[in-house]
Amino acid sequence: MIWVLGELRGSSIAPSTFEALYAGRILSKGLKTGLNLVFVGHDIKIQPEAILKKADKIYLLEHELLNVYTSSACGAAVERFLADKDAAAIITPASLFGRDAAPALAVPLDMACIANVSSLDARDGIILVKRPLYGGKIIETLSLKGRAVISVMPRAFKAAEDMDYDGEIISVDASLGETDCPVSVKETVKEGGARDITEADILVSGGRGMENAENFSLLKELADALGGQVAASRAAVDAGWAPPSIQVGQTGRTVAPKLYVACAISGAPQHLAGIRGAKYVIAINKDPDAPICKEADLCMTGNVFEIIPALIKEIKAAALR
Amino acid sequence: MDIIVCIKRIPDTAAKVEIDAGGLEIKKDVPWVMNPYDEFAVEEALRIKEKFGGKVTLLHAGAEGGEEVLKKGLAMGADEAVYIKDRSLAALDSMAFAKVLSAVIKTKPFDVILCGRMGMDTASGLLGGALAALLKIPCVPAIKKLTIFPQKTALAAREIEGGMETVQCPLPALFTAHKGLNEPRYPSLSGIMRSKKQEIKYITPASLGIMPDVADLKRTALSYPTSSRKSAILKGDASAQAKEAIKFLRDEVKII
Repeated sequence: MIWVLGELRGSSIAPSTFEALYAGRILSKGLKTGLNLVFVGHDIKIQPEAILKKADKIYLLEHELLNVYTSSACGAAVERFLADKDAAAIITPASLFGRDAAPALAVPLDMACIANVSSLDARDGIILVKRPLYGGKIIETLSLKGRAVISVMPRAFKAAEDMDYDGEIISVDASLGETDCPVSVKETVKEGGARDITEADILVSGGRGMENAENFSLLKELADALGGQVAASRAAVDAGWAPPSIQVGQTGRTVAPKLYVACAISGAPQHLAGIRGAKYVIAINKDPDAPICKEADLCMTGNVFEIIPALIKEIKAAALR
Repeated sequence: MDIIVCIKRIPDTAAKVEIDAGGLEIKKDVPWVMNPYDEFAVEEALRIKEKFGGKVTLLHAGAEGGEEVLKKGLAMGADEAVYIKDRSLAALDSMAFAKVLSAVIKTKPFDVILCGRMGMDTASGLLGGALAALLKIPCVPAIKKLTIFPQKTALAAREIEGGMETVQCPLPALFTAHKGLNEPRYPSLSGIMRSKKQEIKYITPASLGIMPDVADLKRTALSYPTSSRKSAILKGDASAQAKEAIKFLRDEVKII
């Protein structure tokens, strides 16, 4: 059996869960076994139609101690639930949630653990995975003989569509006690509500050539016109123009959006490594010989402060048509 | 407080990383540095020691070249450096490292264990969680602020999806350091001189009675990512370029 550990955002299912399901399906076909999904939480309310045709069984593992996520409680609950069940692999999103939960499961279940996998295959009982190393400068292929917890890179897999699964939702009381929850959450602060940049379809990113923090509002305007989010290079974050949470590259996040617009970013190797997964790249740069232009499908050259407003104007005109 | 810090050695993130002739390893002649997140961990350990007294022990597991990063940590102010050195520790499987490191940690007293939130080589971020699970102690990942109380509890602020949370836990506990936790100090001249006299303790996994088991997980290839970008260059008038870009967004990206 292949298990997918799903991620919840309040009462909705995080998009990364559907990508993990897609990855799980690859393994379930390759290893000729079933596909189950498990959510962990308290008083879970999900829309059944979102999920019923995507897995054989959907377990809601619930306990009031799981009301706020901690890796220790989640790990203990899932580990006890799976201890007497067949599990060839557990797939989880490589989000902050999945990355914490994966080792907390792998250790007690005595499974291998591989994080941030960008591609998966299975044949003859062997699982083959690829993952980026050194910020994406190198791709490693690993073969795995045995059971493993695998976290999958955001946007590396498609979202699973409905298939001919005849899903069944089953609620289970998790077996947990206070000693399973040594970490207690005292306070939670939400920041601006911006989505994680690794989940964005379109990213408009700014670098050193944006000159100051005020000019980032121009990027926000372009991002809004395109229906995307703002990101930044390390230089812009180090200069204090943008928060570290939106930094792209080896020392920030590795992203794989449909469209990446690199504004006034020259393209250091660490930055380029972080955007290799992007489907399309547009660079806007004063220097046509900048490294970013070789990694772009389209490179607009000249003064970024003239090109970006012109582009915003044309996008708005095109959208109106 | 007894504080243990696990440190890793990685190629400098600015370095060009290339695959060697055998195709299964990277060329070793790159500049190697202490994993940047581990520097935050070392700094935090030193600050805890400065406040409460105690001892900071550095642990490093690897096949070769670890002396340099351990010496750097000693020069920053750590008291002891332990190097678990073995050829089998060349692979990058965090779980195997966690098993070896936990075996050493179990032989030592500890209140706080610190490590970086991830190695910038694999970007796995598994080590801290795996170590904590093996040692059966609480794990608080990706912390940006840490306050230790004398009655052996801790309050930590950590990054979560779309925000921050503050958590409390008893010690002993493991924390993984995120950027923003502190500003790591540079080794002072006196620190560098002292570190030259400090000896690194070597341990082999065999002496701990463990065999790093990586047979299930095997690297079969390394490759370079392929790029099929067209690199079309536009020049001249901004609005003419913008019109060209719109065509691209409409016909190829298909978002307009």
